[in-house]
Amino acid sequence: MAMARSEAQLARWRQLDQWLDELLALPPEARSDYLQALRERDAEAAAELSALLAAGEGGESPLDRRPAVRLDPSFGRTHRPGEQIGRYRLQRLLGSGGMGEVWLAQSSADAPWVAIKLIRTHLSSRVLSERLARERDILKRLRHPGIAALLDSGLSEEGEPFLVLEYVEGQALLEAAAQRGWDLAQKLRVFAAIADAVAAAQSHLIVHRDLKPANILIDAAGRPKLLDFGIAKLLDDSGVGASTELTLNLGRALTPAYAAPEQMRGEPVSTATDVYALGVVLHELLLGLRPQRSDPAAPIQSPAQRARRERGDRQLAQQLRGDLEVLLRKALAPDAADRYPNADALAADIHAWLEQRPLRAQPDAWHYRLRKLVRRHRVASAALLAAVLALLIGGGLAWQRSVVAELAAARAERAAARAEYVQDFMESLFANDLPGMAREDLPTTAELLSRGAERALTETAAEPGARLNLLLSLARIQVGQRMWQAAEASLTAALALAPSVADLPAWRVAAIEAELASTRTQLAPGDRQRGIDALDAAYRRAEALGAPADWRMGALQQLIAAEVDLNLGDSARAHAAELIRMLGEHPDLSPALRLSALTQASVAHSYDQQYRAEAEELAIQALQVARQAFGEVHAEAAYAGMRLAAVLRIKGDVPAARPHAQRAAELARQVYPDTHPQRARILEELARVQMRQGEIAEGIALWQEVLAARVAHYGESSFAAARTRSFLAAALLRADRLDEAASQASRAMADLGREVPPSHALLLDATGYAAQALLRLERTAEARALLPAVSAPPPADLAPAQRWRFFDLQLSRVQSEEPAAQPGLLAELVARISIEQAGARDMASVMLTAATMALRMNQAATARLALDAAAVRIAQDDSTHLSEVLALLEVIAAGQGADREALRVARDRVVARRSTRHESVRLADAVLGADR
Amino acid sequence: MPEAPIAAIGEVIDELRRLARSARRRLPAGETLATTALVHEAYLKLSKSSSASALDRRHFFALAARAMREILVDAARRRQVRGVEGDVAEDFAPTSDLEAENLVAVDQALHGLAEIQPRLAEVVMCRFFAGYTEEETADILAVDVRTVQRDWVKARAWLAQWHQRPG
Repeated sequence: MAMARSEAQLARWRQLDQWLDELLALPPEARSDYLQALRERDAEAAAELSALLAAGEGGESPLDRRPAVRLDPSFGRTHRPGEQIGRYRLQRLLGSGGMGEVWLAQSSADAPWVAIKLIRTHLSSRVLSERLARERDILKRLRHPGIAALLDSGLSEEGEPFLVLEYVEGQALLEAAAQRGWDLAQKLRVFAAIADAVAAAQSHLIVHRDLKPANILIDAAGRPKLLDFGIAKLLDDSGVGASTELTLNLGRALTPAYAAPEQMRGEPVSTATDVYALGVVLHELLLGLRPQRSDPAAPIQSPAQRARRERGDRQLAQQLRGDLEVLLRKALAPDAADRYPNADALAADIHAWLEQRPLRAQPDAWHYRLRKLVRRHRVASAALLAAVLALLIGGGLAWQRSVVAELAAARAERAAARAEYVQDFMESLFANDLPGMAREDLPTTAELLSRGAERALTETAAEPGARLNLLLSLARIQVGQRMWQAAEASLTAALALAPSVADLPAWRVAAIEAELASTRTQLAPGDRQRGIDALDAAYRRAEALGAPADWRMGALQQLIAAEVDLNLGDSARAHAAELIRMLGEHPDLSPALRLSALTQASVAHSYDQQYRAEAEELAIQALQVARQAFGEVHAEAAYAGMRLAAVLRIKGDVPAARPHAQRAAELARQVYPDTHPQRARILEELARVQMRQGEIAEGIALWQEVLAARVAHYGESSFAAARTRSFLAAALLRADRLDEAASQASRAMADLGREVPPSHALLLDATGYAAQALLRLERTAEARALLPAVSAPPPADLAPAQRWRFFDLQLSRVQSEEPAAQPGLLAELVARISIEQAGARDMASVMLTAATMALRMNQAATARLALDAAAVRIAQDDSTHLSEVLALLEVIAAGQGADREALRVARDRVVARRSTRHESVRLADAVLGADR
Repeated sequence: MPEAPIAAIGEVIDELRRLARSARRRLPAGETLATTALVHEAYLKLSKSSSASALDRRHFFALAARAMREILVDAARRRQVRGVEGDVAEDFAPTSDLEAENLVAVDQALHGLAEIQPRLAEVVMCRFFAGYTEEETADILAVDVRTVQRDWVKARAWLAQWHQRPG
């Protein structure tokens, strides 16, 4: 139907339409009059109008034949109270959000109330419910008092997906804060609980993605509960939900105020994304304002200033200045890499603020830490503090005075002055558990300590009790820094001072003697046994004099450590038994103490094959204590997990060790900052496990990471780094990365050489690795230069149980000599060492190496001697399953008459235990020759 | 009703088509394609779209009606071009030639109606193409039910007029 209209016609029609309107508005009886009146004015119009009226009200019309489609615009209430969804009956509508309605429901009359969240989505319900089921299991595991739990999920009869959530009654965060009149500290306490909840979820690798005050309810008791945890992600994956909204909606009118910049850009989220949201929430909670910045890449505008200017709250501004501002800035940094990495780190700093400890977010300034410490403790006298400062700092008089002034204003307490303050202060500055503080940052620690020690020894201004504690603390620190001589001097001085200290319990003196003895065992490694005896004696004395349980347990642990080091298994186990007994006698001990006791007891049993079961049992107990007392995601759980893995690995059950080592490593990565020594220690265990499982490349990568962490924390040439280099070298050797192995091992040797006596096990090992690498690189002369002469006797200060290491080096030396000379030298060496008494297990290994070498050189007699020597020792203690290797070598030694089949069988047995790279296997393969 | 941007309608159309496609598959043959869910889903999806700012219910449903017109007429025209067979699985396809013809006729009339009085066209789109009731239409267009009723009569009248008298 062509519609060519002229303007005139259109005008006409409009007029008619208007009249028709009027006409239709009239009751039927009045219409005829209207028409009549119109007829008189415009007859044509009237006629048309009549026709229109008739057509409009009667007749047929295309409009009557509607298509069979109907859209139902009754959007809104899709459900009614009393309706059944799954096994739940709906009670009342709690609200409706972008994703659907939320109803209060219960599964039966007395059952607890739940919140049913119906999900409206354009996705096929089947697809969504599959996804729901997958995610649900992860989310269901997320149980935390601060998080509204996901209880269930399902599909309604109509095919609508729904989630069943814990019903939480409470007030939204900001309303609660306002109505309940929270002060700053209370707000932070609540926020800390919120951050803790988020951290718990993050430990399950669940990111919230939609944190905002509306999602945080506060119950009657003032506890926060987070809603919709993980729901955002779940729905997000299905294409419904907050993130999708945001990523599609860049120009939206509603400001996604809580979304981190990377979320706005549609980039992947991380735990740092939640940190950002938390930062916004905190900002709003504290100031009642949302953070602002002048441009997206800039830091936020100073909260303190805004508090003053926009809120007129001077007091708040004062409180925000400094720590809290730094904290907020860090949480709200535009770049995720600059923020707290996860909610746990943020929570840690909140807790730190509440406890007036230094914040991680604050750069490590001496005066900052000191100020913090001063606030935490009350000190007896300004003079004491001045003395302490003089000990450690020396210069910087101006700020010394300001600190002193602060102290002068503080109240005094004797006990604090004596024990806690000084100890805390110094240990907090030097202790190994300082997060991420590199050694280089401390201005010449050793220098300070020696200066401090000097002054401590001569300082008379402080009262004897405080001075004593100062010396003891110094000593502890010096031990931690491996400054044995300095520690000895401090302890000796402390001992001398002891009589002049009032009220000093007798056992304390014995305790100091024990510490001294312990230090001396380090000073005279060759005389370790005597040192341990002295330590044992001092310990007994202290015990007799009434030393408290916690000190005794600590001392026992030290004893065990020393004994384990010297392979004094029986003594170590005896002390471990005592430790366990004490644990039973004192059920009220702190979890930390229990944990370290169990751990050390486990260590005591670790190195003897017979007692591996006990070691494992104790390690498992320790892990349980750690988890229960400190939580699943905690440094202690990580460490305990690592120890269990170590026990299992040493026992030989590497597959069992793996999951523990893996989990511990994951926890460590989460819980610790990158360069923390404990993190490195835990990762090290995983590296060892990986190496044992033949994952050489991964193991090497991990060792390298551990090395980097230790270098960053302790220093390039530090003992810790050197030790790590040595292990790394061993791993590189296995991977045939000989040049790298050689270089790391040499570096390790050089650095270790400065710290330990030449006969130290670590140094010997490093030497061995270096030599092996060089030999394989055919840099024979260099190798020889490193190794002891074959005729040299083992050093006097080398503990008998460690001598095998020395012999191992000598075997390598043989390999570096002229080929013609080798048989003779080998024979000489084997003859000498075969009568070695100590260290059966390790000596067996050495003898087998010698036997292999002899067989290669066709030195039957030497081989025979070595094999016999090995056999004797293996009979005594085959904890390393060397018997298979022995068997293989015996077969090879049988010479021409050797049954090839027997040889193959023996070879395969060794391969099953070890790997094809074992020397004996290589030898067997050589003998079997072309057949293989 | 404010003039909705073309983009928004396009999205509504796409969305409804898509929803209908999946919904139709779930329906037994011959059933009326009328589901609350369809509209709700479309509403949700579209309320997220960047071109539909602050989409409120009324606006949306008015848009939906407009979209339905496009969809249904489009389907009708295609059927006319292709013949009876057409695409059996076509969403919103008319079930007969007569229906197809009907749809096209009403669609063409809409142009005329809109020129006389825009609301007339709106009412037709709501009542005829989207199938809203008088009350629903009144709510969406923010007018009286009687106004809707009168408009409907007028629309019928004008259609009849134009059918009888071409030009």
